[in-house]
Amino acid sequence: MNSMADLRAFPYPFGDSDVYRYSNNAIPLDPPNPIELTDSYFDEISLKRELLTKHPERCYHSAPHTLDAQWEVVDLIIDNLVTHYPDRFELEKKDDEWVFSNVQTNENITFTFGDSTSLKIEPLDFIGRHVQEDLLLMMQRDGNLFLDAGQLCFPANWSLYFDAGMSFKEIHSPIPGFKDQSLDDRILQFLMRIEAGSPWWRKNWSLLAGNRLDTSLETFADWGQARKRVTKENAGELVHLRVEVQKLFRLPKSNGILFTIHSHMLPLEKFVQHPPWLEKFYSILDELPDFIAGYKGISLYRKQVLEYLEEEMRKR
Amino acid sequence: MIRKELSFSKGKRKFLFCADSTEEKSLHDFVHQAMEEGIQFDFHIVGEEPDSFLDMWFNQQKMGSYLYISGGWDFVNRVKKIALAAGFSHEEMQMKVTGPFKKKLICCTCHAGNPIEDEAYITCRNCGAELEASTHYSPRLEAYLGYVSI
Repeated sequence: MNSMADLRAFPYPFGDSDVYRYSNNAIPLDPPNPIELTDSYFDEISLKRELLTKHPERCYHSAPHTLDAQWEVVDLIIDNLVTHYPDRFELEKKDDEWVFSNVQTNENITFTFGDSTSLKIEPLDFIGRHVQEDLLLMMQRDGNLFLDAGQLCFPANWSLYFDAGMSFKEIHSPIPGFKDQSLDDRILQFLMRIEAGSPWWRKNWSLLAGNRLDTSLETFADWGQARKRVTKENAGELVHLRVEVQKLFRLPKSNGILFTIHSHMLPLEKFVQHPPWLEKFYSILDELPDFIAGYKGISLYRKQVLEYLEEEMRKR
Repeated sequence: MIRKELSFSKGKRKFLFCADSTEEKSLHDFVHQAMEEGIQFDFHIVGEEPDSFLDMWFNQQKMGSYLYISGGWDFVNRVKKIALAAGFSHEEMQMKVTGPFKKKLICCTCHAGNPIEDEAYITCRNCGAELEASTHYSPRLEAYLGYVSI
C-alpha cells in the first residue's frame, strides 16, 4: 500500500482540541458494523491464530456462564461479515445447522448454532479467529460490568489473564486520574445504559516504540526495551502511533456487552506527511500531562519524539 | 482494606466484633466504647466453629451493621470471604492482621504466584524477573500484579 492510501485508511484519533485528557468520547456507531477488514487481514488473523496456539493462557479466557452471550457474538459477527463482505464470507443455514465459510482461508466450519459441543473451541474463540479485532465480553449484574470472557491477542500493555473477572472500575484502577471527577463511574453508567441495536464507538491512542501488535504485558520485558532506543533521528521510523478503534454492542438476550478493539498502527514518518496532523499531534504531545504520558508509556522518549516533530515542522 | 490499626467507626447501628483466640484483646477498647455509647454489639471469639456458623451469624444481621475482624492473615481472610458472600461490602468492615501478611504477587511475565509481605520489589521465584509490587488486585486470582521494569 502506498503512503497516501495508508494515511487515508488510518483512523486519525484526535479531535479539534490541542489538549488531550481522558474522557468519555464515545459516539453512536453508524453504520453499526462491529468488524472492519483491512489490507492486513490475512497477516493479522494468521498472527492471532499463532498466538492463540502458543499462548492460550494469555490470549483467551472465559467463565462458563458466558456461553449464551458468546453465541450472540457469533451471530452478530457472522451476520456482519456475510452482509458486508459477501465475496469473502458465506453462511448456509438450515434451522440451527450452520455452515460458515471463510473464502480467503478456504475454511468451511459446520456447527449447530447454540450447541457448544458442535465446535472444537468456544464460540467466542472460534469467531475471533476470523476477524482482526480483539473481542471482549462484559457481563452485567448487580449494577456492574464484569470482564467475563475475551479473546485478546493485541493488547496495549495489559493482561487479560490478570484482569479476567474484574469489574469495570477494578480493571481501570491503575490508570492515574481516571477516578477524577468520577470519570470511572460516569463511563460505567454510560456503558450500562447502552441499548441493543444502538452501538457506540470511540478511538483511543498511544505511542509504541516498535511495530508489534502483540504488546502484551506478559512480553513487556522484550518489546518495552525499544523505548530506550528512540532518538530524534530514528523516531520517524521506529515510533508508531497506535490507535484502537473500540466498539460497544449490547447483546439483547444475555444483556452482555461486546467490546471490539481493532488496533491500527502507522509509523510517525507516514503520519506526519499530512501537515495538519503533524501540527496537531505536536501540540497535544507537548502539552500532555506527565501522568498521562507515563500511563501511555511515552515518558522515556517523549522528548526525542517532540524534537523529531519540530524538525519535520521546520521542513514544511 | 486490611489495616495495621483499627479505628472506631461512628454512626453505626450495631457492631460485630470477631477475633481469633489470640487477638480478642485488640478489640476490647472498641467493645468498651460501644458499651459506653450504648450501641448494640455481638462479640465472637472464633475457635473451631465451621464456616456455616459464621455464615448464619452474618446472614442474621440487619442493614447498618458494621464488622471488625482481627487475627492472623488466614483467619482474617477466611472471615472476610464469608462476610462478603453474606452481603457485607468492603465499606462495612475493618480488618486488622497480626503477624505476617501473606499476599500473593502474580508475575506479569510468567503468571507465577509469589508470596510477599510488605516488599516493594521481589524476584519472581519461577522466572527470575524483578517484580515491582502494585496495588492492582484480582479477586479471581486473589493476588496483586507484579510489574517488570525495563
